[in-house]
Amino acid sequence: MIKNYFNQLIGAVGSTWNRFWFTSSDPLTLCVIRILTGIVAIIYHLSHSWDLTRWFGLHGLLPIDTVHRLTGAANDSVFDQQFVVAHISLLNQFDDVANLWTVHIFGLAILLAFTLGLWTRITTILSLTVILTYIHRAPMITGHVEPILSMLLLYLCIAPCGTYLSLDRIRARKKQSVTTEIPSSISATVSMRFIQVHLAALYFIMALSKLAGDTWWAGEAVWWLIARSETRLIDLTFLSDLPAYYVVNAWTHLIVFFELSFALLVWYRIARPLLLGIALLMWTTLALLTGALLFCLAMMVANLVFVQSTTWRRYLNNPLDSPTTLAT
Amino acid sequence: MSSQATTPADANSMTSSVRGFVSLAIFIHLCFVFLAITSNVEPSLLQQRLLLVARPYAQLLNIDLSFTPYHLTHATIDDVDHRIEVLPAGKMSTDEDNWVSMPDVGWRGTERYARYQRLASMMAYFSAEEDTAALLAESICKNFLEQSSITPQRIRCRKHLLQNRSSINGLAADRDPFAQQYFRDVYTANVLVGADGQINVVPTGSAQEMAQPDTNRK
Repeated sequence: MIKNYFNQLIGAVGSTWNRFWFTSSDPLTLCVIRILTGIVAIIYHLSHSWDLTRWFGLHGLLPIDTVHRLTGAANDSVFDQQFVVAHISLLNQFDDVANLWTVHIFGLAILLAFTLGLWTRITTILSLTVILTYIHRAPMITGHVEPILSMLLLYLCIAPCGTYLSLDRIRARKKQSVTTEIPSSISATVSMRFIQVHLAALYFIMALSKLAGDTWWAGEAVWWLIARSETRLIDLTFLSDLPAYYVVNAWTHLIVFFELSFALLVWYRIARPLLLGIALLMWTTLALLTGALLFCLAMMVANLVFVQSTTWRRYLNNPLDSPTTLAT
Repeated sequence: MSSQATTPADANSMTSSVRGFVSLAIFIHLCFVFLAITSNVEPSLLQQRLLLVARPYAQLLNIDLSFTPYHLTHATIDDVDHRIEVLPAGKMSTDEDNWVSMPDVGWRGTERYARYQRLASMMAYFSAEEDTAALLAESICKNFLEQSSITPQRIRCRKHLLQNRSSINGLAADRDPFAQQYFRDVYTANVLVGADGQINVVPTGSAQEMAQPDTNRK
């Protein structure tokens, strides 16, 4: 009886796993995410332009030796040596103005090509490399947007994300006189599932780690965000008095409740439109509250992975994207 | 769950051995992701041991974050911002207007602005480690000297305390979030600039309290 149970369990888990990961799907959603991720990546990349040499130059704020000492990479311990291996960056090789700018402009060109969908298979991998290069050059000044951005780029490397809405597609149409049906793709499913699972895990850990702090239980956390006068974009200190302060309490509780709910309920198709709508509202208000605009934008882009391709087709009625043209 | 599926039969287009290999790769990757994410805040000894295996992979792909907490913020009263300021040579330290903040980088909603804030938080974090804080302070002073032509005589890192609810409706001095009473020095040092531009910092040890920045260095 026990043996039968485990046989059934293994069979059920196996078939669910295969259905979840290996059912082929339309990559349109990932193509939309490619464009939006590319825009976030370009904004992120350009944010380095004003201070490129100020941070990474010879007399910059964070010379390579300083970074190695801050990270402990100058030591000989296993942990510290692993840190060196894991934080490889092309920018570690240069500290002169000319080379830094050469790498920077070359990186921008790659990100532009990726966003426009030019040689997408290659430029997706190169875009990930560009972003990781900046992250690993000085990990101590990275924030919350980097892990989301690198996550999206990493998983887009797997997918045929240049299939639609791309220069690759236009080039393919010019070459081919006869068009065929676009094949759905297992790699698109794997990529999409990775983003979905990773994102749900992030929401879950965001909620759990918030609950480790008393202020989230006490409903005060949003007040302490409002009180950060050096980062907030809007002044909501008028909410300090009762009864307006109840809004702060409710807002705090709703953030935690939503993050927990998203991780658990987004897998139910019926709940998705509601959750995505609330996510849009939550990240918009958090952006104004915390000043972390790019991070909130990246989270909104990542959330779009739960929008079905049929929904995109309804809104993207472009002749270039007719489902009867050739996939790249 | 598979909402995006169009042709389920295509699953058969992959041979079972390839599917098994890909499944194994997916499983290992997800294990590393969950390990890295769950150990971001307060890793157990087991997680720390497992991270030794996963770290090169997880850090290379920026999944295991050494300096950034995943939770965005704990939003506690100790979750504060910091500033780095230098006093140019020949200026009186008693006049607050003489202190020069890290470059005024414009609008606060940008990543550029946030990057300078993280540097200040990093300095506050390392303020207890004299050598490390001095190393950072020297880099910052050298940068002021080389790129802004400012010869620093003192450097300080300040913690910007948060206003509590009662102070919003209190005295005029309490209502201003940028009033001096809301700032505490967490690191101060005198700066010695040699004739060859060599910079040395001598901590004055007058920091009033240690910082607890929003930083999660493992």
